[in-house]
Amino acid sequence: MRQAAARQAQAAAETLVQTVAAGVKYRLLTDAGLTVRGRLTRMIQRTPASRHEFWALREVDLKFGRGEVVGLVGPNGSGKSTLLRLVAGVIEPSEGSIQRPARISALLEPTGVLNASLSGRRNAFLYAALAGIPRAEMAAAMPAIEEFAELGAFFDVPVRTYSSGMLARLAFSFATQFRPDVLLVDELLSVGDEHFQKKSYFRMLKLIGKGSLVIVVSHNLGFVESTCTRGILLSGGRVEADGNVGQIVSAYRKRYS
Amino acid sequence: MARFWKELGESRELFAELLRVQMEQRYSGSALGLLWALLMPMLTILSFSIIFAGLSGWNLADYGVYFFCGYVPWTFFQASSLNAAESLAGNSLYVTRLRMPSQLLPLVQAAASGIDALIHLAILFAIMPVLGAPYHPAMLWLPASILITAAAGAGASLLAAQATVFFRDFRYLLSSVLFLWFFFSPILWRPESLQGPMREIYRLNPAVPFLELFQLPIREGAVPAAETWIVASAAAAALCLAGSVSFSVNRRRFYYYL
Repeated sequence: MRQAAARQAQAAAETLVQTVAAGVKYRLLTDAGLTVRGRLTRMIQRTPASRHEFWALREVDLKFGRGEVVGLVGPNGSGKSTLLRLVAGVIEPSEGSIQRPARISALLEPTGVLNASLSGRRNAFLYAALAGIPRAEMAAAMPAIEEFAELGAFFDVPVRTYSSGMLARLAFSFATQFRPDVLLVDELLSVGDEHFQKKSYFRMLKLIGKGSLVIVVSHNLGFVESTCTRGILLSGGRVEADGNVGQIVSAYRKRYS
Repeated sequence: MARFWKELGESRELFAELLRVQMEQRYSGSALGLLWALLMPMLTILSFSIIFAGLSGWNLADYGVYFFCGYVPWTFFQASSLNAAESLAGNSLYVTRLRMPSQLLPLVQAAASGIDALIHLAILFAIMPVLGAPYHPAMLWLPASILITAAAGAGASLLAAQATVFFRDFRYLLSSVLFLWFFFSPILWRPESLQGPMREIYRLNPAVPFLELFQLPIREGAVPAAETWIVASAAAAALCLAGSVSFSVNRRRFYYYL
C-alpha cells in the first residue's frame, strides 16, 4: 500500500509536461482583414467580417515524463506543430490548461530564428541570449558546439550561405549543448545526412539518459520508429492513439496509406 | 502589466544582445561603417539648410544649428516608430516559434534609434563652434530633454509594433502621416515667422514641446518654460503607459495574426 503510494508520488514528480483538456483555437484571417485599407473597404461595402474559427487542438489530455522520447505522427493539419508550440510556450491554450518547466529548448523551424547575416558562431551567441544561457557559459561551450556541428570554415560565415542540412546541424548542435529539460524537434533531423542523423541520435540518447524529455515531429516514420519510445497519433486536433511507438506507427500507416 | 516590466528587467542580457546585433548589422555591414551614420544626417542637414536658408534669407550657419536642434528629436521619433512598426511583423518567427518577451523587439529598435540620435547630438555639439554658435548653461538641462523624448519614443514604438501586427499597412500610413507632420512642425521654419492666429494655433501640435526641449537650450540658451516640461513629460508618460498596457493585453493575440 505504502509502496504503491510512493511509486505514484514518484511518477507524479517525474511528470514534466501535462495538459488538461487543452485546446487551441485559430481564427482564419483573410488578407483584407489585416490591412487598414481592407477594413475600410469592408466598412464602406458593409460586408461582414468573416469569422472562421477552427480548433487546431481539442481536449488534449497528455502527460510527458522525464526520459521519454515521444514521436508525434499524423497527417498534415492534424495539430502536431501546434501541440509542439503549446508545449514550447509560444502559445497559451484557448481552453484547458498546461504545465511546463522553465528550461525548454525548442527547435521549431531553426532557419527562421537564425539571423541570416550573422555567422554560425554569432548565431550561437544570439541563441544563448534567447534561451537565457549566460554569455560566458556559451563562450565556454563554443569549441564543443563547433566540433559537433562539423561545419569547418563555414562556422564563421554568414548562415545565409548554408544548405538546409548545415542549418539543421548548427541549430541542433547549440540547442542540445545545454541539457534542456524538454527538447522539441520539428522536422529537423530528417534534413541532416545519415552520418549526422546517427550522431544526433546518440546525443539525444545521452540527453534522455540525463532525464530530458524529447518530443519529435516527423513525417519520416522510419526515423520516428527507430528514435522514439512512445508514439502519439493525432488526427483533426485530437489524440487518436497513444502508446508504444511501433503500434502507433503501424496504426498510422494502416489508416493513411 | 506587472509581468511586462518584470520580464523587461529579467531580460537585460537578451536586450543587450539583440541591440548589439542590430547595431552591428546597421554599421559594420556597410563599407563606410560608423562613418555612414555621421555622413547621412550631415548631408541631409547641409542640403536642407542651403535650400531653406537661401529661400528665407536666413544666415546659413544659424539656420543649420536651428534645423539640427529639431532634426535630432524628430528623426529619433520617426526612426524608432517606423523601425519598431516592422519589429514584430517582420520577425514573426521570433514571436511564433520562441518563448521570449516580445516587447523587447520594438524596444530594441527604439534604443538603436536612440543611439543614433545621441551620435547626431554629439556631431551638433562638435560643429557648433565652427558655426559660431556658443555653448549655453541652459544646455545642462538636455539630459532631462533626452530622457523625456526617449520615453515618448519607446511608448510610440510599442504602439506602432502592435498596430502593424493587426494592420499590415500601418507602417505606410504612419510614414505618410509623419511626412506631413514634419512640415507642419517648427523644424524647417521658425514659429516667429508665423502671422496672426497661427502664432497661437501651431502650439497645439504635440511635437512642439518636444522640439522646444532641444531648440531652446541649444540655440536660444533658454530653459524651456515649466509648462513645456509638464506637457512633454505628460505626453511621454501617456505614450509609455498606453504602449505597455495595450502590449500586455494584446500579446496573447499576436501569435494568431503573425
